[in-house]
Amino acid sequence: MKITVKKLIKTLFIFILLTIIFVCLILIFKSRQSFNGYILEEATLTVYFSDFPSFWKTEEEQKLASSISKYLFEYLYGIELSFRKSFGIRPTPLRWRIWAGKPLVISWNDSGNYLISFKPSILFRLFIAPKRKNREFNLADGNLSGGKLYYRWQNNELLISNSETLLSHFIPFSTKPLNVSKNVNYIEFGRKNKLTMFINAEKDNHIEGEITINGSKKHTLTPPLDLIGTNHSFALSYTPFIELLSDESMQKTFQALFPKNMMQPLHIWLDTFKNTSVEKIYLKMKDERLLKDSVLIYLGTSKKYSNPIPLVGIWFPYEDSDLKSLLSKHNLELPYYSCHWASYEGYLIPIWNDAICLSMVYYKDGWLICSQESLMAELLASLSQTNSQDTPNMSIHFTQLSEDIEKLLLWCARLELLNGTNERDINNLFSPWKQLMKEMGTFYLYTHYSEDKEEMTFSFNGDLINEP
Amino acid sequence: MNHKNNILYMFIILFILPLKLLVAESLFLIGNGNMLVGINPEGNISFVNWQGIGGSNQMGSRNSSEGQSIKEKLLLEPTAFFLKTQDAIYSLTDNTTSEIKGEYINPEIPLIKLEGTKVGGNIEWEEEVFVHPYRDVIFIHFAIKEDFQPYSIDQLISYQNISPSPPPIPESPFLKPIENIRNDFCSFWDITHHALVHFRPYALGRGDIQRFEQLKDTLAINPKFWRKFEEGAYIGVSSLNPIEGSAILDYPPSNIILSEIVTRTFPQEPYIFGDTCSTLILKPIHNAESQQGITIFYAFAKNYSELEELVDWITTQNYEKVKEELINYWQTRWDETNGNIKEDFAHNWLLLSLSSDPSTGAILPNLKEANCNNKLSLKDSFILVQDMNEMNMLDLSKKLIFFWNNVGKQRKQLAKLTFPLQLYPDGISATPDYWADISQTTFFISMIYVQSNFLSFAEKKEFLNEVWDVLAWSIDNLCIWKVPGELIPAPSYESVLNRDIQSASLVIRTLIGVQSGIQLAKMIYKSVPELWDERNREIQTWIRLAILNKTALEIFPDDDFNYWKKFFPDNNPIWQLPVKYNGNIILLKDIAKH
Repeated sequence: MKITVKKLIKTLFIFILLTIIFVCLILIFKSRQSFNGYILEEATLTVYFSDFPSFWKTEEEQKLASSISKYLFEYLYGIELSFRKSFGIRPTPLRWRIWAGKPLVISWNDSGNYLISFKPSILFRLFIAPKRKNREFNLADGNLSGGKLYYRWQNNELLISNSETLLSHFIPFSTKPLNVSKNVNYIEFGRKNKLTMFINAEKDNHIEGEITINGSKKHTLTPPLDLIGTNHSFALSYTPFIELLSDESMQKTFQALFPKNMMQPLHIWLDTFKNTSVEKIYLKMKDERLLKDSVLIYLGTSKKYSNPIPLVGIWFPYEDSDLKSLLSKHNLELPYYSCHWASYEGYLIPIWNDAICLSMVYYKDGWLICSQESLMAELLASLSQTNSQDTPNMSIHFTQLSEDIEKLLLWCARLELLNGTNERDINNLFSPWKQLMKEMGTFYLYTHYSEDKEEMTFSFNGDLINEP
Repeated sequence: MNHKNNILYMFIILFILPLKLLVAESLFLIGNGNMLVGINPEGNISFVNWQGIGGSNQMGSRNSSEGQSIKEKLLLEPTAFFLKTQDAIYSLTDNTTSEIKGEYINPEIPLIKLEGTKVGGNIEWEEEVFVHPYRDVIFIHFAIKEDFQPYSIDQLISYQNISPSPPPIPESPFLKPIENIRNDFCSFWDITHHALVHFRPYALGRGDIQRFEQLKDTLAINPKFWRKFEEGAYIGVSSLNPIEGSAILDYPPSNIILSEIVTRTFPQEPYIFGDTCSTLILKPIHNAESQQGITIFYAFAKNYSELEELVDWITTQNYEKVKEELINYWQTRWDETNGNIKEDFAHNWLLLSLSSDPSTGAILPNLKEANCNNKLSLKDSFILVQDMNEMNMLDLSKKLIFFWNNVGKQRKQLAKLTFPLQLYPDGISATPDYWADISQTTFFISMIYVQSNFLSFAEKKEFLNEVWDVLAWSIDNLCIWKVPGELIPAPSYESVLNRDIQSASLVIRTLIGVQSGIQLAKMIYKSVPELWDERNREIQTWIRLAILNKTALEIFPDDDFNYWKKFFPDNNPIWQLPVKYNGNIILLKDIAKH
């Protein structure tokens, strides 16, 4: 009797072992099959991972990811919970790999609708997808989460969308990069103008990419101002980034992806400048294309006033150093007065007393304008006179930016402009984001003309750097 | 001022001032110092300013959240509707189908009586509206005459479109369509007090919303619950007559759905957010005087406890007695003032009293608009002071001057150089400090200057000594407001352009301010500071040079232009000053022709 039981156990063990080997073989075999990937016909934003679980796992080891999971745990838990409720699996890199395979592509259109495309493993087909009445997934097409999501099988790949109609309006993702490293994420954004970008999880999320602008002339890419020493929230060379964002499809996608109430404080703040001289001067400069090849420096908001007054500097190239001819040429009837900051001779154009008093200095073959007199003094003192070799085209100091965002949110809440959210709520809601931004350090982006390209294409690379 | 001039001014005041200053034709004003209510010619409430005469509108016209204007007729409330049958409802106060006449029962009593007849003459009604003299309650009394056969009244419906909004936003003049983003409030039927309660807690937060949501799960509202929101705007609507039913609608009602309203019951759950309209179905009392009367009241309170107390008090009152109390109160006030002011000005006195903040002395001007401006400026105050002085209301004008004097004291302490461009009547600045218009200072100096002309030497000396500190500070500021090395004043904020500019108006006002200051000092034999004399000479030099060199600055003539004409005699060289006006360069003297 004992011998029979032992034999039975032995046979069972061998059977299980063989099954595991068999399954593994199938998995290995299946994983070598090609992945087409499908995106929406009208996709404006596409995110592609050649090996999503690997990227995920590597990302988890990065400092940024650990900060995110530390401060935004509640949000991440919410996402995880909703995933578990929808698919019955707790999402981890390993589980994703076992069930959903490696490659993944997500595309959005400018209405914010999306399509997720991946190639589920055989295990998914064996244990999740079989046609059962009590399962949400099956091998036929259908819907999930009570009709919130829809799915469809296409050449053994599973497509999931929030719109049923869009499940019949997709195309193969033909532009996906080949031989891309498993820990690199590829992003395509825009329709008329285009941004393509690789994010390398292994190298602290190092960014590399290209921007293609349609129908534009060449721009000066080397920023004429070395802003490394300045204490700014963000700085941006006007081109090519602003032209990139002039693509309507990008603007629409941004608007669709960011919830309205998230952007409301910004809109309210910008509304405070509507029909003011500040807006009129800005629009004039924009229309007259004075801002072409300019540099925008945002240094935060002033604490001195009841409304958040921005501290801004703009530099634009201009041949004529005579202010009178600059104003008359562009029909700007503004009174001005001579002023000097250390060795720099310049002018003041009063707008709103000491809150906005345009201060102008002819600097490095262009006009440097600051929103306040004191700001000009500060900026001129901190601008490096000798351009360093690697002056970034864009820099974002997240610590300082978080302070500015918080100030803006609190201002809106104090004036009761965010229905149902008061100052106490803002302190609680924004606190984790602020902590995260404080640990993000500074983001630098460098732009260069791509070589051997006739069309207007720029290449860029950027990094998040934690400075002491 | 001699007697001939007095007659002339009386004419101006009697016929011009009422049109210019406080127009009774477009809006009737009622109030009690803590509340200012505008009633339109149909007898409906146009606006309510509470707390205080400059408080933000707590009910009345506003836009829907979609930004589209809601049909005017349905916005104005309380609008009494006469319900004949379930599918035919007539508005008694609709000016398109009614003939309505309204007037104050007495020029000095803020009680409005309106009479209306429906087209066809088959319904005649009367309405009385007033604010209680001591309590923040608006009383509205309808009386419908019985000889309106063949109709018979079963029910009356009163509509309320109440949007309690937060107090004015200090120093944020930019945010004009504020109602579109501040529409969060709550309405519910209070079973304890038989009143519709509309309220919003200030600085509504997520916690508040959660409380409302919890409350929605319960069947009845626990009155204690509302005590948690101590600070806010509470408006209780109830009636001295029995109330049969009511409804709260998320959108303004239209005629199509009116018949549905009567079938609704009082809401037990709070309605949160949105454009909420509410209705009360009121049963008139039949009495022997062949009239059916109905009294609705709107009680305003800062918290729920106060509201409870107020509603409890009102329900014990007799309408006629409350009315009598009001009449006695205002009659006594007028009798006390009557000695100084002529009977002809009784109504102007009443309107000015209603527009005055008793605690600060501020007086709101320009209340003719339905959405009245709840701010005041030095310029408006200066014009008002002149007019009030002509009507011998020296006490009121003095209070207004002391209001600005107190503002000046605070500004001096804060080391500011200018007065705020606009203020709420409680003294809080309505515009940011960086809108610094130094020329407004001249209006303060000129207010004191014109006031002094009505005083005897002893009174003048006492008055000027009281305000001298702020006066000297303001003249000093006018003198130091200049570009170093130049004669002309430094750029100053100009509302028309919404930016700082050096204008001819700035130069002229600065000169008026400095010269008035010098004359005031001389009036009471004070030594004139050298700074003032020097600045006076500098500006006069600049004017002469500008005339010689034909230097023309932009001019923005305003309501004070008439005062310039009084201040500078015709032979003053300033009238030869070239100025830019509407794109042309003309002489200052020619501005009047334009």
